[in-house]
Amino acid sequence: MDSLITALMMLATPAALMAVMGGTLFGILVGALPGLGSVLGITVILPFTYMLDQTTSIALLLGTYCGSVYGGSISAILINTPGTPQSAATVLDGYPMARSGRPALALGWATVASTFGGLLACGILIVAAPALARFGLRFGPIEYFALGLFALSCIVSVARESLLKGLLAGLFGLFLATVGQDPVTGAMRFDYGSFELSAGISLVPLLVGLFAVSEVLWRIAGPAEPGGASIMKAGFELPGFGELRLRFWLMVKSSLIGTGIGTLPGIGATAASLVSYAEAKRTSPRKEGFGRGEPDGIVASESANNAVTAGALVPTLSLGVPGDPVTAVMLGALTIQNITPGPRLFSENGDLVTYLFLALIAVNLAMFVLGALLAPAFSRLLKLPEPLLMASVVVLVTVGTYSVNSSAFDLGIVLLAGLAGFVLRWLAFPLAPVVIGFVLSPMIEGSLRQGMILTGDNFWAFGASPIAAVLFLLTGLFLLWPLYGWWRGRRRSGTHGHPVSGD
Amino acid sequence: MKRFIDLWIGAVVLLLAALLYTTGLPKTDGMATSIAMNPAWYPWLLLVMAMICGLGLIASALLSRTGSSNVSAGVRPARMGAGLLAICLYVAGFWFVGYWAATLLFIPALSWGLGHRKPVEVALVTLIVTSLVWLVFTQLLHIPLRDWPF
Repeated sequence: MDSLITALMMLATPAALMAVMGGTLFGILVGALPGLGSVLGITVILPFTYMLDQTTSIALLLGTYCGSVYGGSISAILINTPGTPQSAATVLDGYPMARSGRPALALGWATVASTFGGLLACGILIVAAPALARFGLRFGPIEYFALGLFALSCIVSVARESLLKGLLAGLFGLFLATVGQDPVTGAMRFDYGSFELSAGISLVPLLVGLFAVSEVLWRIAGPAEPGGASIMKAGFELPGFGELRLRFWLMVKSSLIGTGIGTLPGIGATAASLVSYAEAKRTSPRKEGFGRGEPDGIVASESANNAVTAGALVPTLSLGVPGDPVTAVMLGALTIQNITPGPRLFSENGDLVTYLFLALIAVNLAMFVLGALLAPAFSRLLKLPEPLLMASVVVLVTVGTYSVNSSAFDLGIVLLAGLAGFVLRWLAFPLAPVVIGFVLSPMIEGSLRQGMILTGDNFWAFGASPIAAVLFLLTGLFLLWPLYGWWRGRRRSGTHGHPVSGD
Repeated sequence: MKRFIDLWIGAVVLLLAALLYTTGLPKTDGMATSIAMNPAWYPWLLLVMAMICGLGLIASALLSRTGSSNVSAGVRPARMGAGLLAICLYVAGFWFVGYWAATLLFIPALSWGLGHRKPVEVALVTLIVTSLVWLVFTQLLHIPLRDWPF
């Protein structure tokens, strides 16, 4: 109870409340503008957190994260283009509903479903995260090494183009974190006599370059995308009580799907919304209306993708293992604020954890209020020309990166990482494993080396820990599964090409 | 074509890993009592795994007819070069001539270069963005920017 009162007092400060509103508003904007997305939003906001205290930073980051996921639905409904990939399923019924003359109601459904999904997932986070953290207290270095490897393998295994490229991207991220002073012996690695490199590569310039600058370069020089969709003007209309009651259990089911998928590393909100949409379509009594502006479609997609935000925070907070690039950046941001996510966070810093839960609830409520009040304004903002938007992003990230250390070296890293990010995208390498690898590398290296000392340099002894053995097994399965799929595909195409007699 | 790209990627990974291995790791001269105390061991492990992946890319490119993976089609390298140059010039301008001059030039220049040529709109957005960013950083967060003259 004391913890709750302390957390409430922390949240009731003007700075924290402003951060909740400001972060959510910024997140909605970033989400609504097609192509920017949650990772870019969090990356742009990251340098600001250096100047702010713990509570304000947390509120700002959570607001940006949740707001950006919701914001994607606005452009999905109004211009038939999901602002973020997470809202891909919202387009299917959101835009037809808007086209049929009900854009205000479509936005109303998206806002209600997003808020409901976010709040229900918050409840689950409050119950599940401490329980998982208590379980995490059993973890030693060997288990943490296995867990880090498992989290990375989940991200790598969902690399769409090639498992090898996913692995290389993950290794690249792990490797970048080794530049600088070795944490155990103090020896220099890959510094080449440079004073700046001896301190290692900082998270902010790397992420800003990799995601923000490469995104700008991609917009400038990437494949031209069909544009010119007409932008619909819209107001905001809440669905009636009867309609809400009719879809209450759908919202609950979709939120549970989103939360469940959110807790699994590497799968993310896009898959959650698509799975939830498919499930709603399968079971809905109004299934014939799907694809033609049925509110069930919007409810299923939006409840699920917003529930993922709190779901993804369960492993991030309780075990210190991020599930996707957004939570990886959040993890880095929390570390900058001297907060170390993991089991000890719950036992040693209970007030802060309670504050974080309350801030997440406040952010979801702010999302509802801002969505309802500002939805008409967003239809105008979507008209902002892309060249001006891209130039503004460059200005913001350059000034933001400079403000952290006033360092020319950091600005150089931004440019190099931007170029690297562009080339990686071009060659169809996924970027998510790079950032997850970079964030997890210190934990993986530290726990691996501690484990080796504990077992007398015998790596095979790592398997003696039942938790680690299960995690190693899962890691192997995740990495081998795409190979099995590839082998099965080859076999099937071979069978089709050369039918065996008697088939 | 895809096959050659994968071959190239694999070869570059092998070369880079070998180069980093030979030039960037500290010499331990067998002083470490445990391999865990060897600062070169973990990066060495990563580089070896990268080399294995590089070899895998080469092998899959040689074994398959099209290569193991795709590259994004439709990328315009000249535009990328121009975009990168513009961003580099902005960063250099920000550092040497200061925030105001660099930003007031950069936003209109990039918008113009990307084909958006509505002077009033560009001027308005440039002024709003430049002033807003300056206000947020210098007045709200109390971080001095590199103001003119430098």
